[in-house]
Amino acid sequence: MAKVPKPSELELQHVLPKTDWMDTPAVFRPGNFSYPGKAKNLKVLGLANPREWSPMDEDWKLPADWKNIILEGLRERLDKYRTLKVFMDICVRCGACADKCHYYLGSGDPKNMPVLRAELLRSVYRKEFTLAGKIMGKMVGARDLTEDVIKEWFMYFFQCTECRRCSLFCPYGIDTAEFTIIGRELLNLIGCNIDWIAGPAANCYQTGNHLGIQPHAFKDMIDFFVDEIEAVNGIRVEPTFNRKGAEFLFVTPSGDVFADPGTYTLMGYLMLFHEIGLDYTWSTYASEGGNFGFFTSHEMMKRLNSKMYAEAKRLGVKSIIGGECGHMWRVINQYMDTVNGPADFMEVPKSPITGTRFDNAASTKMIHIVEFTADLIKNGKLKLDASRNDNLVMTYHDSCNTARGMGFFDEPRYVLNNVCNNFYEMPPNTIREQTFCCGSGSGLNNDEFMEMRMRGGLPRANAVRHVHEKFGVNALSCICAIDRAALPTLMNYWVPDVTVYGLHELVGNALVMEGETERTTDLRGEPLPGMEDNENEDI
Amino acid sequence: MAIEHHLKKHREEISQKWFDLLACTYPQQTVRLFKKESDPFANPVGQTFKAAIGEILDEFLGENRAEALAPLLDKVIRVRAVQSFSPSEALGFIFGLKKLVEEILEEELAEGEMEMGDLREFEGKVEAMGLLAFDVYTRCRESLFEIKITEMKSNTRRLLERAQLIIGE
Repeated sequence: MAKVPKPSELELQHVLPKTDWMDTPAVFRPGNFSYPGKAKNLKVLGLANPREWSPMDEDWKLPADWKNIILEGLRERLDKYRTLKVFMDICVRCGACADKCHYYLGSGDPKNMPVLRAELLRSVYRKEFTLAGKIMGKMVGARDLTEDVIKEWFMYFFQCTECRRCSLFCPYGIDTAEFTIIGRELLNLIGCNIDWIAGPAANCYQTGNHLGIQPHAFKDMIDFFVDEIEAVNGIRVEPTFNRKGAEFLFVTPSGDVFADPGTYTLMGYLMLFHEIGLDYTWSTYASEGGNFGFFTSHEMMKRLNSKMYAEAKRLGVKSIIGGECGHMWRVINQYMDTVNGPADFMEVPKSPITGTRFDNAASTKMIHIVEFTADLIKNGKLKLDASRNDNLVMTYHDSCNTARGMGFFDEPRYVLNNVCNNFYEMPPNTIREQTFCCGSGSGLNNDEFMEMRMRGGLPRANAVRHVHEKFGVNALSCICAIDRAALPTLMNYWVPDVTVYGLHELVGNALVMEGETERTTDLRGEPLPGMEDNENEDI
Repeated sequence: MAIEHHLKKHREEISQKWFDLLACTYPQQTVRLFKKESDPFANPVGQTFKAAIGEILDEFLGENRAEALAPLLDKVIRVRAVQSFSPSEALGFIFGLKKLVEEILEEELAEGEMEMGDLREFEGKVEAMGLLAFDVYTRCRESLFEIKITEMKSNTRRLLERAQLIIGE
């Protein structure tokens, strides 16, 4: 007869291993990783080592000389990017960044501390590129590059959203997102990447947008919104496509075209441009503002960014207006001028309605629609009825890329305060430059990664819950397409009574258009405040 | 029941130790953060746990109504349901309360201020809370799967809607 265990032997040990981080290997299980890049997508992009594999496999089918590829890749980047070289050596491990990462706060996993995430790469750098590391090894935090290290990189560099909140607190200004960016770039050299990045990047490269929607379908979708707007207020807007000689090219993330609630934001753009009579065109080729190349490599970012400018040149527009997007703006604001600029075939953007010249975009020639709209409002060019949004008690989520990536804090709030009457801020250490990421940025917004995203978004949701409980906030606005896709899901799990809105959806609701019929519903077809009875009568 | 009276007397100690027990299921560096940082936005998990543990305890030692206890348990379990815990690890802290209380009441038990039977009855209540926690955990995981489906639908709804319109024409 089998030995019956004693009660003490049955006791569960609910304590995680106390091994040193270097001795704690990454363990992959369904739900804690994103699916790897499909071979067909890697081939389209010309990326290394296309193959079928899974992070749960023992053998990752790395190239035979993978170690050499990584070390040479690192050597090349240390020479190329001075920031990387400096960041490798200057960290004093003060810990200021340690508890600032949303993924760390939500998971409690120390390898999500920015300092430790950087150590994943630094430890290899020390071993291979510094004398102290070569001689003293682990004593000075150096370690050999092994397949386990690659697996650990894959797990943790694809568990960072490159939001850069940590960099804000570093006394040396170390940007840990750069470690993630370089780490992912190195992983790409040996074919370790995720399909939620490789797929959209491949589609964008081939067809012009992340979903791979072809020109006729793209136009068809926008025509569909034209009908929807007409049903709301009787106005038929008339967007044009690929029109040469237009004053502006308008580029927005394709998420606005296909995914709710971004679609309502897109209706807001269409209505605004119609109302002010803007001479602009859509492009069915540069039909994507997002840039998943940015999450792959600098080279891929450059490649995908360039199509927007190539299209602007082909169409002969004066300048570009960009929609509500996150990382598109980070790329434009921080990289475009270096990688593809200056865009000297265009003119410094100037509002044809107000005459304002946007010198902040003197080199990139591309302005954010929110600054364009804020300028229209400031100059009294829009008739707005904020009471149409009176059913919403609003708060605002600063998207990481527009907030920390381009210092864009006040323009969205200015617009919001003009189109809504009820607005409450979340606590100061969760907004503006200290904003918490949605948890799904930098290509992690995939469904197989759901529980990780819920962890990563926990600090943001926690702040939303606070204003929900304190002020009755029921609406969360944002100016990023990833946010519009990720935050509704995040709210569903953590604060189900809060709905997510793009800023220009609210503008579209409040905009009083010339010749419009009386509105009874908002852009979602929901009754406007005070019109609930009309709705019932219709039924 | 006599034991409730004694437990309420030790409420602060129980609450503190129960929180410690919960926090100690995380790596050492994280335990420090959970315990030390008092700003609920700089330490959302630690502070949520701290507040919820107190609330759970008050309800549990008070009226102990399942409908009031479930949303309080949800505050802790919703977090642990998306972290790297197996279901048993996520809910182990509930059962840890038994041993913890027995240790705290050791003296009073020895001095005969209460019967062992009282303690056993209390342990039965903890087990009932454990079962309730199991329901809450399952609901959290179910909602995770539901929102996954909702998200996939909303990502493609427009395309499908459009496609159906075309077919319908």
